[in-house]
Amino acid sequence: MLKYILKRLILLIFTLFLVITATFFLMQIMPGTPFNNPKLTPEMIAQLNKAYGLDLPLWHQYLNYMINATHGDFGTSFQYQNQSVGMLIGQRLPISAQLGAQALVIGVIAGLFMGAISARNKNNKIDGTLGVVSTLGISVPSFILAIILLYLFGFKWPLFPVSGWGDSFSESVLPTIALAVGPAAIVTRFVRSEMIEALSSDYVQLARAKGLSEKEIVNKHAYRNSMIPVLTLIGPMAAGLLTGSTLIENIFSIPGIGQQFVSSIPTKDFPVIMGTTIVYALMLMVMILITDILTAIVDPRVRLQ
Amino acid sequence: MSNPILKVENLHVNFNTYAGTVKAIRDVSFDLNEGETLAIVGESGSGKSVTTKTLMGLNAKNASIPDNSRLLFKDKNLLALTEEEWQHVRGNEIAMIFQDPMTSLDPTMKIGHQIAEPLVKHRGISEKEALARALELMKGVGIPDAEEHINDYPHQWSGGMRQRAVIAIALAADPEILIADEPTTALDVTIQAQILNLMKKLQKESNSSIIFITHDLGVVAGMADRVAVMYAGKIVEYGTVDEIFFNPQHPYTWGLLNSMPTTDTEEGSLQAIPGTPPDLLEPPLGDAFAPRNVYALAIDSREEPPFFKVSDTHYAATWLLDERAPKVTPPKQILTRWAHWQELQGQEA
Amino acid sequence: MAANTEDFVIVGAKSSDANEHIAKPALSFWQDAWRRLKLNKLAVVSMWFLIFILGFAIVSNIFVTQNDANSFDSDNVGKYKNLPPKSGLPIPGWNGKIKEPGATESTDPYANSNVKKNYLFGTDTIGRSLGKRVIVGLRISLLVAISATLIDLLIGVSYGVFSGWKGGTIDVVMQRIIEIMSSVPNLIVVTMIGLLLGSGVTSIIIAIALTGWLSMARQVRNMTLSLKERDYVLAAKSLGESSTKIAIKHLIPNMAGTIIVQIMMTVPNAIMFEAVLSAINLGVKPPTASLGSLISDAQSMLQFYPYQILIPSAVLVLISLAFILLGDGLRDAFDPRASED
Ligand SMILES: Nc1ncnc2c1ncn2[C@@H]1O[C@H](COP(=O)(O)OP(=O)(O)O)[C@@H](O)[C@H]1O
Ligand SMILES: [Mg+2]
Repeated sequence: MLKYILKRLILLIFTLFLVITATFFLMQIMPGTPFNNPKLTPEMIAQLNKAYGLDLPLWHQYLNYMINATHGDFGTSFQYQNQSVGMLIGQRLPISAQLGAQALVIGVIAGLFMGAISARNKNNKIDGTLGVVSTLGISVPSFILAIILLYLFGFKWPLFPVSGWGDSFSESVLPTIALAVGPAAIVTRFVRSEMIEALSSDYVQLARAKGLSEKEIVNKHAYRNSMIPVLTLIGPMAAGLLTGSTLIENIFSIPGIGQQFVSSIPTKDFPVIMGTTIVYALMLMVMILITDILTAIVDPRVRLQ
Repeated sequence: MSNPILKVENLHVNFNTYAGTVKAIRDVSFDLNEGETLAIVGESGSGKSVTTKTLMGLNAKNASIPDNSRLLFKDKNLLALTEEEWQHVRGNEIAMIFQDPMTSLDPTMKIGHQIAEPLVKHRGISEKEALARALELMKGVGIPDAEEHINDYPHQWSGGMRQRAVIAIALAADPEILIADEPTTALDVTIQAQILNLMKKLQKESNSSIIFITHDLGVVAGMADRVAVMYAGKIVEYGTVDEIFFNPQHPYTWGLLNSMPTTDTEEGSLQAIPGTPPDLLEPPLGDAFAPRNVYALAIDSREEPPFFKVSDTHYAATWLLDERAPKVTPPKQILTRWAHWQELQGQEA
Repeated sequence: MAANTEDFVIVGAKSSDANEHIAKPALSFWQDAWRRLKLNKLAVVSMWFLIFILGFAIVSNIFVTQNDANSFDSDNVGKYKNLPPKSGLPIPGWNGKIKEPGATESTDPYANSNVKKNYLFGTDTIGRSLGKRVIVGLRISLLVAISATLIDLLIGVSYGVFSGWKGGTIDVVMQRIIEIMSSVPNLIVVTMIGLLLGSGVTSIIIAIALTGWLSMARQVRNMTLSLKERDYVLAAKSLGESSTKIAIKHLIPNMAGTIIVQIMMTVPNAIMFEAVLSAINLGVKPPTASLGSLISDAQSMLQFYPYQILIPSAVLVLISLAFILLGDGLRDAFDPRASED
């Protein structure tokens, strides 16, 4: 087990290294420069380039970046001078993570319930209704849902604040719902199909032949067997949610990492873009690793090696 | 004469499908005596599994059974049971062994717990007591070092061992009837023999009745007391195992016997029955086997043959047994069997 | 009994030829799938809806050109801007009346500005017909989504077939590459491509295609692995058919079902991704409209002119809904197990 985790960690670091390298060189070939303010004189630009180490040869810049990165130093923002990328991300990531965690918990729990109910009522009215709801849930992108929620409960019936973060819990209600519906719908559909498959499996047939009631069968056999594959779905989902939704943060003016990422694009704030990329990739990989470890713990068939 | 513990009377099972009604079981009747093993044989698709599922009340949702069908288990009509009453019967009075041991155990539950489950359910004993009993059952079905393996998961076991576990599950609550639906089909030949021996041994110990389903007459010989041959949703011939093996009367039974390898089979004489079973959406008029039967009579295509009595225990549904029918000469191998039958009769007399 | 002696002559088995006819001819895979698909009403409705939308998008080139949708009367912006949808019928919310910012009562801007024409879907902030812009936007969004899906299909299927067919080390390496690539979030890839190639339709298509092919490749590879052990493939191989020919003749037709279902999921994803790109300023260049750009441009108008954002949103949602419903229907239709009882 430990050996496996170690192996995966090494692979993770290697992948991260590839991602950083790729982004670094991609940034180099990006058209345009961050210092394009017409008021800047060539001397000032040269000075800035020197300050950010942009006058060094490329391999030197790369080496510097890599060495600094191992210390957790991802450079200084072009856009907000004197602010380190690490600090900028450090301020904003927790906000995104809190919002994402709320949405994840609500979405997954709702999805587990609805999926199980749906499967047990296969092909009747309840299943049909939940089917419509969950299909709608995956067809409506979160940003459109956010817009609808904002319009209905922000403007038409102003029950919740339309923007902001950190002053009260009510500010997080609409963005949380907007973010949670998609995952809830995905989990519902997934659990439903896994559960239906489990309920038509041979081992459930054997459980029926033992004389167990349908309820006992679901609780003792079908649930556990259909939860295991759900885990693999939740890992990447968690990574996506915890790293913040660019659009939702934009719509509700939430100062999260996603919003920062968006604002760094038109200003060509390369250090921030790179830092965010690394955080996103790292988060995704860590979540997948955690998922795999959890799966191995829950599923006796999986042996880590 | 022992008395029947189970009587199946005029069983019909229909499945509603998009294309129409599949008449999977068409008027099947048989008895099962206490302590006996009844084998039901037939090609795949003849309705064996549907019969067993009906006996467990586990048919697919699109199945329908007409009211005049009756399944009398100790004089109680199973077809009238509620779902709750069925749960009391399943695993407790009638238990089942499935075909594929690789898929019939829950991959995420310890085997010991899976064996204990019917005990907790039907005997109302604690989990701990049930596990202790499960351990005994595991030893009883020949699992070596059972103590060490009670907490294993199915994937750690071979197919043969898993099938032993499935048998232990079936036997856990001491059922009166054990239904085994092709219990050895998925196993290696050597393992097959072990499992069959085990079942025979266990039956002797518990005096339960077994309905043994197979498409392979070869495994029937050592296992069954009586045999029913099924074709296209009907029983076409039934009798004691000797009667079916050495005095078969139905051309379909001849075909099955000829397609079965035996120790003294001549090389090249093995023959599968040509053709395919009929479509049960529209079962043919008359004898369903007629289109594949080289001995088919003109009447077969019009009128269904009734059961003709061969002996008190042996009946066959073929017009060839009608007094008006011409005497036909069955294939050579069957004649050999008949000759053997004459010898047996001679010895008895 | 009416039977007489003639009934008891041996007639024998029917010829084996006749026997073949007794068995009901099995429906072919596609016929069978089609039959099952037709049972699913939602899927059928979705299919016709999508056919209609696609046809409409193509035909609309004739009567709504890009120019029609982009041009506006720069002298009369004030007169034509933000006109609400007006059907000409007294339907609440579709009668050309709206509460202007700060007003308490609904007013009729058409009457106030003396506009004779009815805009069925209203106008935008500079007086362009929203209906026309949505039609043009729909066109662009579909173009982006379908082109991206096709590229995706090409890369994904060939990568998957190659990896699965070659097997061994090549397969391991190719799967590792997929693994590594999927640990980079889509948003990042899309952003990088957008930054690299500049905004515009081509770069959106490439960006979306590059993120979408991974799951296609993975599925196709798994199917190839199992198909390549089948008799007919082994037979073709032993007959010396070339790998390419086997892939085209035997492998791909046999996974067409899976591929089609996958496409049904990729298209709505691509449509949504296009919208995301527009929202982060990496979408189409103004004044070109896409569903995504219409939505993100109108975001600030949500409070007072919600129709400007709700109409393109509704179109986007309907299309993805139809793709998803059709995809569900196809999946069930291709997988006989799922449609049992
Ligand atoms: N749920 C069902 N719906 C429709 N037809 C069914 C169903 N279950 C079984 N059948 C049909 O009933 C017939 C008998 O099947 P079965 O009992 O499984 O045969 P076997 O003798 O091989 O066990 C087959 O023709 C099969 O297609
Ligand atoms: Mg069967």
